[in-house]
Amino acid sequence: MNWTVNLLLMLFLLATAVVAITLKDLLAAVVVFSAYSLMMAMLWTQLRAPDLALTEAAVGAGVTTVLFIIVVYRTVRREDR
Amino acid sequence: MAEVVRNVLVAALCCSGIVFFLGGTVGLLRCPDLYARLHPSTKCDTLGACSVILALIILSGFSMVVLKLLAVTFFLMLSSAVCGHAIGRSAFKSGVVPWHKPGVEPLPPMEVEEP
Amino acid sequence: MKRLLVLVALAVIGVTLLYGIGKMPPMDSRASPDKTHVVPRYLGHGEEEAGAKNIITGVILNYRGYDTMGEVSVIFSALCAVIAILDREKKGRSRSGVDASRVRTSLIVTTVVRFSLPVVMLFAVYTMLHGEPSPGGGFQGGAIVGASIILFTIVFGLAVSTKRIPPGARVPMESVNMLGFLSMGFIGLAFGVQFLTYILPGLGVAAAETVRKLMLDVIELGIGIGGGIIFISIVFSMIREDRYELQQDVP
Repeated sequence: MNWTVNLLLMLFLLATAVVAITLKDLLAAVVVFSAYSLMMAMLWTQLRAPDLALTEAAVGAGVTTVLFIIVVYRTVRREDR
Repeated sequence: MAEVVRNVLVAALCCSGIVFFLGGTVGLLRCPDLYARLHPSTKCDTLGACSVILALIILSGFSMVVLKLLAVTFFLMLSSAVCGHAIGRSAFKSGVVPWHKPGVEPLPPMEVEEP
Repeated sequence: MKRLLVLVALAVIGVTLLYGIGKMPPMDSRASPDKTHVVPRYLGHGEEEAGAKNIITGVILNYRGYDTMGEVSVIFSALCAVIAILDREKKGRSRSGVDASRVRTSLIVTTVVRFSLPVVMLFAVYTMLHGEPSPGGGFQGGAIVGASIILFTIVFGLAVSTKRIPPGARVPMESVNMLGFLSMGFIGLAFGVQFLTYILPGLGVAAAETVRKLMLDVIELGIGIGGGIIFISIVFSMIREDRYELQQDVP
């Protein structure tokens, strides 16, 4: 049971990682990256590392997303290529 | 008997949660624009996740964990609904035009009174 | 051609790494070095040696104290870089920034944030102070504090936020995490033992234990408050739009 949950989380993590680096719209990439952080936090709790999960959820999904969104807002939103 | 009732309740809540999740996902994929998509995707969090958590509460019986789960449910409902509201409002304010049928005149933008 | 080179290089590195992994003991085996040396020491003697029930806190603050100090200084230097680039205060530029958002926040959002922010803060303080017996700790709590104040700033605007947290209170606190760590380290030096030693000589056993707990708490609080303030400062200096620049854009 635990094994399947971990596997699903892993697959979703990989999918979000690939999507985050392939998207051309940087704002969407930031949102996907925040989903990646959330998946990572859940995986940390599954691996019995609640300290890391707390850090990942607060910093990765919270603060970093806001910082990235501010940067996207202050610069150009789309990657030109 | 109590066992049966409990299991039935848990199954019903879980199934309704899954139905809401399914509907939310399908709506997210099928709806035409942002405002229409917000509607099913907030249902996902409030009704879907909350009924699954309620099922977990009934399944686990009363303990300290139940209080935590209730707090999680409460904040989930609050934050998801408010997020939907904030996204829709800011999209409307920044000029995202709602979808309309081709050939039909779109509604003119409303002037909302600021409180 | 370049792609081919990259592929070959990646293949070589990957095969080498996979070969190395193959030579390692399997993941759960009892023969792997961390199971034979590190884990028994930490789990067996961690509480008495490091002085924290949560072994992770003990490892972070005591066994790997230098490492944590390095991480803290990394966060601090990140703030220094942001300030150096975005140039906090210069003559000729107005200090009070203009809000990035032109849209007024709705009543519903402000009410809910007003209601839920104290709860978030309470959880953050709980995480910060309970890092010793349960999961959590200074940095986690500080990150939650930072995130909640950033939420407040986004919802209510920079002007309200700087009124609540004036720069005179925020700026001196930015270096609290480094200062806490260094001062606790130098206390050890002053007593004639190594840097970052928490058990001081010349005290009784019980007194030394209490002093160690206090020092660990000071470091935790310093990391928490300093980290949170650093997050807030970075976001503030990024959100701010200088009036000077805006005026230059207008012909």
